Amino acid sequence: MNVRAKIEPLLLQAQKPAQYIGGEVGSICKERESVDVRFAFCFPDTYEIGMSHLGMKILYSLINARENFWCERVFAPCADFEALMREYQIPLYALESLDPVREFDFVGFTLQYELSYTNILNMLDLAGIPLHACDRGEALAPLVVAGGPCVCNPEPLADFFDLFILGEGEEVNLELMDLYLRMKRQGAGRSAFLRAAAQIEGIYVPSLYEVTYQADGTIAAVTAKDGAPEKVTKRIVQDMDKAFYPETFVVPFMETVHDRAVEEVLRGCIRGCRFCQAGFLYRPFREKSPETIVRQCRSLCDTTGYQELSLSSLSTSDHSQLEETLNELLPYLDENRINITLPSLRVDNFSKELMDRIQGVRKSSLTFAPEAGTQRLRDVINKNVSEEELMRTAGIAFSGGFATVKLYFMMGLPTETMEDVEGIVHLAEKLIDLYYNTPERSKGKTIQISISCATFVPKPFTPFEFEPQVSREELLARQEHLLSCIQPRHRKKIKVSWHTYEISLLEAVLARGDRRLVPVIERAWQLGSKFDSWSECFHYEIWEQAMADCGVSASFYANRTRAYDEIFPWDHLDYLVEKSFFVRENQTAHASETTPHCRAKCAGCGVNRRIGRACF
Amino acid sequence: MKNIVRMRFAKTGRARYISHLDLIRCFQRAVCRAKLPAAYSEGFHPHMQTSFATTLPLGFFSTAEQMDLELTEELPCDAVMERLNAVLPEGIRILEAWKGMLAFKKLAYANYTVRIPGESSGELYDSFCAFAAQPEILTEKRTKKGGTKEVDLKPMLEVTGAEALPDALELRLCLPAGSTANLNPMLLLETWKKQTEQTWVSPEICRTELLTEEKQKFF
Repeated sequence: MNVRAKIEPLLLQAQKPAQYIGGEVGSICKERESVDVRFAFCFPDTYEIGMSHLGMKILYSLINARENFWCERVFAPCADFEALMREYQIPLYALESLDPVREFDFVGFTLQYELSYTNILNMLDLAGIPLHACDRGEALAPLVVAGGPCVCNPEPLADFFDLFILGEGEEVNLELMDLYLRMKRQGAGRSAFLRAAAQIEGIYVPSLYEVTYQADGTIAAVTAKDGAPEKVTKRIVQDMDKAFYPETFVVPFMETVHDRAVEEVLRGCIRGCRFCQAGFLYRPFREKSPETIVRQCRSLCDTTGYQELSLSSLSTSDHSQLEETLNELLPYLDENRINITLPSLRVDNFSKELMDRIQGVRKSSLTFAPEAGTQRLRDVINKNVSEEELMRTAGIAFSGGFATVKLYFMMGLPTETMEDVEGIVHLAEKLIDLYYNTPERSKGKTIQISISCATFVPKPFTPFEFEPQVSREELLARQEHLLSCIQPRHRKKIKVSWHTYEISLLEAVLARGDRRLVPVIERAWQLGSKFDSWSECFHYEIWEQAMADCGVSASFYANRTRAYDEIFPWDHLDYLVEKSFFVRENQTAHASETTPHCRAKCAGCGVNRRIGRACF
Repeated sequence: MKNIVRMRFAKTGRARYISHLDLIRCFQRAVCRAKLPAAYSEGFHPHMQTSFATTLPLGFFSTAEQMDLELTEELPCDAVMERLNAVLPEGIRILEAWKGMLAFKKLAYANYTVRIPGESSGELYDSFCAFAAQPEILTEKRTKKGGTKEVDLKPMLEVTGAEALPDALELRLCLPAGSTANLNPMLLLETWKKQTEQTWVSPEICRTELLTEEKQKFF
């Protein structure tokens, strides 16, 4: 099918047509006839969002580095273009060849956030691929696969995927594609391939596992069959200096959310914040050497022409050689007029020197994420940021000309009381006092503090995986209390915003859900749900209806305290951190005690035993 | 004396769907990739010194776009062209480079080739000729302030060729394309379409030449 001829007359009817036609610098076109395996890398959100995703850039270049493999990009069309696609029967296509996705060998989705799940179904439907893996027949292609953080509990999507890829994809993706090519040449069918794939470490084939339930609705057992391993262990790359990293990126024509060169400087996180799933999922902590970082940054900037570079990771200032790296990098950056950004800087090691280093960046606003309003609650969540440190950093920033502060908090954290809620306002008030007591502050500027409160969502593979999410009534009471604590004279200086409770509730249901949510997601999509993470597209009534239709209760998944010995839907997936560690950390949290970061003292999560070496 | 290189470039293929702002960014990134010694403006947020003769409506082809790039050192024009062509995306090609003479504000007209696909090109031909021969061609044009005003397209229209091909009607038009007077050929075609209830879709429009007030080649 010639998709190009069909879309060209329609493109000008769509907003930002450049996102639907490909052809960007760095995009890779190969001859269809000369490749053996074709991989459609699907991001279940729009081009604008998906093109910012680093994982896609890494795996795209990795697969395309193999001469006989071809990886292409696919994004969810916006509503206007989707309507045209459906009207003119244009199937979902990939941006490089403009060939229909259903003709590919692999259709691979990245699961970055739970609220993108309905987009996956919508994209499969647009592609003309049966939604359920069991309806795809014995033909080998297309195999619908997924990776990414949400694969740590893929059970709510179990029926839609042929297999899931756990952990880091740099090695396992190629192993999987090699196996595919071998078995394709032997004329193997889908079920034989899936049985063989299940033997590769890191590959989880959900159809080879049977789930049974207890009378109370919790899981009785998950049983592997056909020789599949009882536990599937995530994959990691051992050495970040030797791991594959792209020499160049696809450079979008239109502006995307993060439109810049991105260098991943380290993987994992030493911090152990107890609410943070990424902090546990990506263990162990591994750094790149300054030489590797500098070489990769130069290559990326030289080949893309980007004049903005981000040193990215979960906590970039925890890189042990950040100063040396910056020293080596700065002459090159200056010479080429490249601005550098260091996202996710931590309060405790945010120094005046570091701030001067990144002066090229516009002094717009200062962002802190204390997450909780009192030291007690920060201890509970192991966010080891003290008020003194925060004030010290803010003081430096105020004397450096900053007058806008963004503060991120979570509400509904385990053990939270009204006192903790008041603490949020007290913290903001102390910042206001500090600002007016800073002699070098910007004269004539009024301080603006924006408090943004998310609702805490308990996630698998964290010490809070056992915790209930706060109820709607309780959360509303706490929000109301927060507003009432702001003194009238501060009302113009402090702005408060929060996310819709129902969005967080749905996230909580999907994050810790099981296979009984499969029909719920499908029903919600049938009823019109898509782009659920965009608040203007989110309609909780649809989800309520879908759950009611399927006899499923949101509170069972979101608001129930789970026993330490309960079998969780994700217990047969192994992310190297022991469940006993999460139990211990949960108990430590309830005792309001902190756990030092990994570099200071090993917390005993178990990763070092599994990788057979000390983390540091 | 500033080192300014003027370039004529084509915008075709997939690159037709790049908006003007995105095109500017695309060129600036290409200059960085080519490691050309670009000049930057002074100030707190310096910009690369590029300027474009005019904007090309989204979706149009062109073989006649022009831009200036200021450099901090003297380089042969051909070398600049070659280095940029090595790093530009598919569909954007520099066709010639020289030391520009006329300021871009002297741009006044442009030539276009319009191709309307359709087998009944003979009927289309007759219809268009009748349309173009009217004493006045009134239509609504959107103003910058968001309203509309009625304009007569007739004085702006110069048809330099029309031909009924087996599979399409091909028109050659010379239209104002300067900062004071400007006529987007799409507005003309839509007016014709509306007046005569045509059903064609997606004409291919290509800008083929930029011209001065005297309708001489712009250089």
